[in-house]
Amino acid sequence: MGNAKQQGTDQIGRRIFLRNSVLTIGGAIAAILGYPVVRYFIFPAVKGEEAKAFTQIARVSQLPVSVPTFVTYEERIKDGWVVTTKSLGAWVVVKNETSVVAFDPHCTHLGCAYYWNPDRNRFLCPCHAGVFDIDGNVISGPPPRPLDRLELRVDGGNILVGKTITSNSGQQKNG
Amino acid sequence: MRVKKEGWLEERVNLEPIRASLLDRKIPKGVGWLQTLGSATLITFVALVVTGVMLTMNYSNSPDHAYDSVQYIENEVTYGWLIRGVHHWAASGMVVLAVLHGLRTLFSGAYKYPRELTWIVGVLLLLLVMGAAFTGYLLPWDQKAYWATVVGTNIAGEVPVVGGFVLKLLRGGESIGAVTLVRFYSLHAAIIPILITTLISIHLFLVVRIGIAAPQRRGKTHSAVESR
Ligand code: FES
Repeated sequence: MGNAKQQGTDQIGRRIFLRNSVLTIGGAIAAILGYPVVRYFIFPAVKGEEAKAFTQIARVSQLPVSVPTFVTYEERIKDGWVVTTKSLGAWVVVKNETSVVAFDPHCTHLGCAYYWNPDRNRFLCPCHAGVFDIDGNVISGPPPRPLDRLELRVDGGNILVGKTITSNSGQQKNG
Repeated sequence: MRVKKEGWLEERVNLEPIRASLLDRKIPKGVGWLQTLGSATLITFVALVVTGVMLTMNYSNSPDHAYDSVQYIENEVTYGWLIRGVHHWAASGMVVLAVLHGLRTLFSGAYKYPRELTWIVGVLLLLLVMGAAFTGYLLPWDQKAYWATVVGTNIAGEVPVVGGFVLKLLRGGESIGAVTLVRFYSLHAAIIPILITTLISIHLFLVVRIGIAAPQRRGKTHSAVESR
């Protein structure tokens, strides 16, 4: 048996052949079985972001025109198999029937809650005196970029919002 | 004799004698497919450990979440249905194969001298496999699981004298609830697998050490001891 190798280099002994066959077939089986296990394991890292559903928050007709209004709403949050509801809010500005904007209620500086001051016609942040105009542009203070907006849709008079879109600095600021 | 060409590892650790004593064993005449049932049982156990460990990654052992987490595995995690499916069927398979393996050993008289210890360890293993199957059955926390455990623990409760004690021990209290689920989970995913692994090691050591029993043939008193 053992001298199979000595007999010639082009002749593969039975022992070697069987060993290679077992290794190949075994390796193939292990790979086929291992693939789903690996995919299962890495699932959270590769699943990609889930499209966030739009939540209805108000009707256009309920809100005053050109006066920012703070609207609270509840959103279903899915964490694995746990579904919870979270209370959220947004500053909504209705220009007309179709032009509606919703701002994320956190200041773009360090995330404080800002408020609308009707006398000065500005959004004011109490933390470090950030000031924004009605379109969310920075007027003064430390905020680095305009207010973040929410994805928004008006559908048959209903206002629906989705996820927050981080505004990019500069663009809106100048415009 | 194998060609002497030692690899890096072999040169240092000298594994060849271990390999030889594990794999180059003398196998008696007449040994065939029936003697593979033990290995088949072992393979299902390996599959159960791999898939089971994967399942723990997404399973929640609390009454509020157990059912939903199983649905999450089934419907959302990539190949979750497959991992759980393999675990489910391999569990049934292991019980069946372990029983068949035991029956083969019984009917071929392979439990006799000098293999009594292997047999006793094997019987304990069979009990542990039953225990794993029973405790695992509760974990999906659906109606079937719940009522099967109600009945199963009630049966344990009918045992004379110690029944009431065993019942409360299993349930972690008077009735089935959150504590029962955690206890069963602990038994199923920690205690029983550790015991099974330990006993399998002993079982396999004895098999290799003593050798496989030669099948008995008509008219021959067979000598049980095989040369190693
Ligand atoms: S957090 Fe609003 S200005 Fe600093």
